[in-house]
Amino acid sequence: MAIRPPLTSTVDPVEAPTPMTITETAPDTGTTTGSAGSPQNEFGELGSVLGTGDHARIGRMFLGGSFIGLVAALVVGLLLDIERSSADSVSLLDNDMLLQMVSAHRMGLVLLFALPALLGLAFLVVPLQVGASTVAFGRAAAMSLWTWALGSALWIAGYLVGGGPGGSDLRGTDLWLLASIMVIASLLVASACVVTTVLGLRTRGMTLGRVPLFSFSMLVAGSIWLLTLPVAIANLVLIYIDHRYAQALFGANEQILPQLGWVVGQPQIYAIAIPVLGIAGDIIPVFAQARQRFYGVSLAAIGVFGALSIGAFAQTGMPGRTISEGDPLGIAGDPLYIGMAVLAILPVLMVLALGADTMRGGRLKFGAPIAGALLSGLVLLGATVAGAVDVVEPLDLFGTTWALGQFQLTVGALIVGVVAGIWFWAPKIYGRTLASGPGQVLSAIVALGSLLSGAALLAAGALDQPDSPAPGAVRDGVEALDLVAAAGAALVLLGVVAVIAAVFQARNRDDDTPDDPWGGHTLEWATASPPVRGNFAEAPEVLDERPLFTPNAEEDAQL
Amino acid sequence: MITLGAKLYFGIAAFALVAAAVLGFATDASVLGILSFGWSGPIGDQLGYTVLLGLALASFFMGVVTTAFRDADATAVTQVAGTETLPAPTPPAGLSPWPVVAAFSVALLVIGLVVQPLLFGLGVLLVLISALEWTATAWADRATGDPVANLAIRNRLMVPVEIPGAALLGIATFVFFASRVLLSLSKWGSIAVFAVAAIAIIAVASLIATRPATSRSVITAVLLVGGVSLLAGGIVGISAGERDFHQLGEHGDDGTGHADDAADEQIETETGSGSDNDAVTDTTDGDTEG
Repeated sequence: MAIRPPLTSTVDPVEAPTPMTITETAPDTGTTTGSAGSPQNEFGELGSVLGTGDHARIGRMFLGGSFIGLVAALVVGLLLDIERSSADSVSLLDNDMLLQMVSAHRMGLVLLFALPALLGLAFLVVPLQVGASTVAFGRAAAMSLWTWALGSALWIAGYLVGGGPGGSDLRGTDLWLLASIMVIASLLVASACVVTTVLGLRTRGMTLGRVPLFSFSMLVAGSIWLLTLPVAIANLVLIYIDHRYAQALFGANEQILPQLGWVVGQPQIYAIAIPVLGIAGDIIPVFAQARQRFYGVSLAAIGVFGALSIGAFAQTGMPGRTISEGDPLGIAGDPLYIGMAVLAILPVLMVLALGADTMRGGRLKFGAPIAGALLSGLVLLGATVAGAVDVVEPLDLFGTTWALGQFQLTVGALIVGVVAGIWFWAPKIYGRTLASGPGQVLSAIVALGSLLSGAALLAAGALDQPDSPAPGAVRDGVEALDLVAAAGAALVLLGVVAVIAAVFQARNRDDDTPDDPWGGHTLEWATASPPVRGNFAEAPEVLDERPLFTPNAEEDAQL
Repeated sequence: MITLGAKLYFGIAAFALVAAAVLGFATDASVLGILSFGWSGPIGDQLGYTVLLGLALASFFMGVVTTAFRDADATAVTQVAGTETLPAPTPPAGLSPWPVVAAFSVALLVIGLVVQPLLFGLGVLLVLISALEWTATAWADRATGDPVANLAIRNRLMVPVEIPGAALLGIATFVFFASRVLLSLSKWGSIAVFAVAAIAIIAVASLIATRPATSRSVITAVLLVGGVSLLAGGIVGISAGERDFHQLGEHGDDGTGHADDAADEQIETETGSGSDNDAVTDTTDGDTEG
């Protein structure tokens, strides 16, 4: 593929070494010299997997693992929805398990899917977008992957032995608390790798103002995670010490989830949705075949959305809207809390409006990525609107399923956004293009399921249904809405399973994948599909935020 | 020579130390308390002082490490590598087991915290080993652009540490697990098991000595079977617990180094002499009687 202006090749990215002892000649160390390849791997493919520091491989494993976590969490959520929609006299699940499942569903979607999926996508795409040869701290990224995987296994094991929030097994709960710390810490290490890559490994000419929107959104999101999630770790450490040695501060296991509820409630829940704006922002101009309008405003909107998602201040207490009974430290009336919830609509609206303006000024071509990008943006907009309504005190929505509906919409937006990202960057991730038709249908199914589930829970919440799946908690008259919510959850699960199947089918297909099937605007499309080792033969130099953009991008895509 | 990175760390350390002193004086600390780091006198706000002093110590440590390893100093690297020239550095391309080992160590540490302090200790040990190995490998990875040369540099630094360390760890592991087996078996049982084990070891060693052509994989397999057997035996021994020991010296010790015979006879009568799982230990002279 031709390198288009204003992209220009440049000199070696490594500064010319000044010390006289450094040369391009391998030292005479008594061993084979001059080898540029990897050291001999004595343990075959397994050794390659376990010992890898390759950002693409780590990213693929993060992404794959996160979808396993997603399916598990969605199954638990579906069971809870079915439980909620069943008649009072019929209970499919043991009462003792319900609280465990509530936490498994909500925390699981964040810790086992949302963060690792985004980090996986970032490991795959961010180094390419910023023109780096690798991710920063590749070995730390590998450690974060394995620590996350093992921590997730222990996290699930904690539930299986009867622990976790609401669990009756003390050791199981200890295990759950420590595994949660392990999982969050590993994700923070991965975040540090991504953030450092954007900050420190950008190629020549790529100022922060020229960083592609997905990479910029990961910089913002990673920074927010690094700022806020250590508070969750501190929470967990405190709870663990209390639970293990005294049970004086937080009492029995039932108080664990209310203490951690801020992680899955607004405004913190928006921290997982920041990259949705970046994904949409990168996809829309490519399919509109037009330069992104007001690029700097898009960057600012993503930054503002990030600032409005800092929710660690809410950890002093829950707004009393989930399963907690009463909340003396509630922040429901806090002006900052209310202001953040209301203002969160604006940056999302801004990014979507700029996207619409870009599409209006270009020649829109349709495909699975643009369908997913637009749907994810719209679902996220719905989530922020629901969040703003949630804090309107006279409506008295606290403690109802309204907040759960908003959570479902936010996570739904993220799932659709990640699916759109996978379809868009598939040539770089798997070295294959994914079929467009199924991609559009599956994005629509997941978005529809999220909207159904979220809207039904919002409506049930407006009718004062409490946020508890326990039998007897269902308010009369909303059974139909609960059934719709369950149907929506089933639709999302179905869509996600179909997405996994479609990806596997495409990976087994043997075809000739073009380097740039879309006529992309950013640097990842300037390298091979899949990328070569080191990503770029020569470090590129960029002169604006869309180095590969030309007005005839469609023609370039065919080259 | 103090490197640029080390200067940064030393600067942070100095800043944190001064900040700790200022905070201390601002919150009613005494001069003696500040100068002695709280050893003899008040330091004011204990939490803030401790955090700042911790930062100072950690930064100082990092500065020393950075200076000692002369990070990114090509001349120093050539000295360690024992070479005249080095290829230009590039991102590390090789495989490394330490990230995954570190992850497993953390998992072991977590499991140990919940179920078994011994596992926690093992997890901590493995985390420390991983940190050391990882640091050395990462440092060597950045030395040159040639993975083979980097491996040679790393080996030159670490092998003199690894071989005695691994030997010590191996001996400690053998002693620990073998002792668990011995302590869980009866007196005659332990003699029988280890007589058989000793004969097996001699037999295998003789076989290998007389057949130098024995393939490496066969020797590895035999050693693996032996190691796994020892570990399995040790774990079973830990779960079975030690056999009963009766401390004779605690009753009627006459101060001459000999146990009270009457008390010994009494205990022997109570415990019976025919039990395989019982042993009577005279702690004064180290003899064990069945």
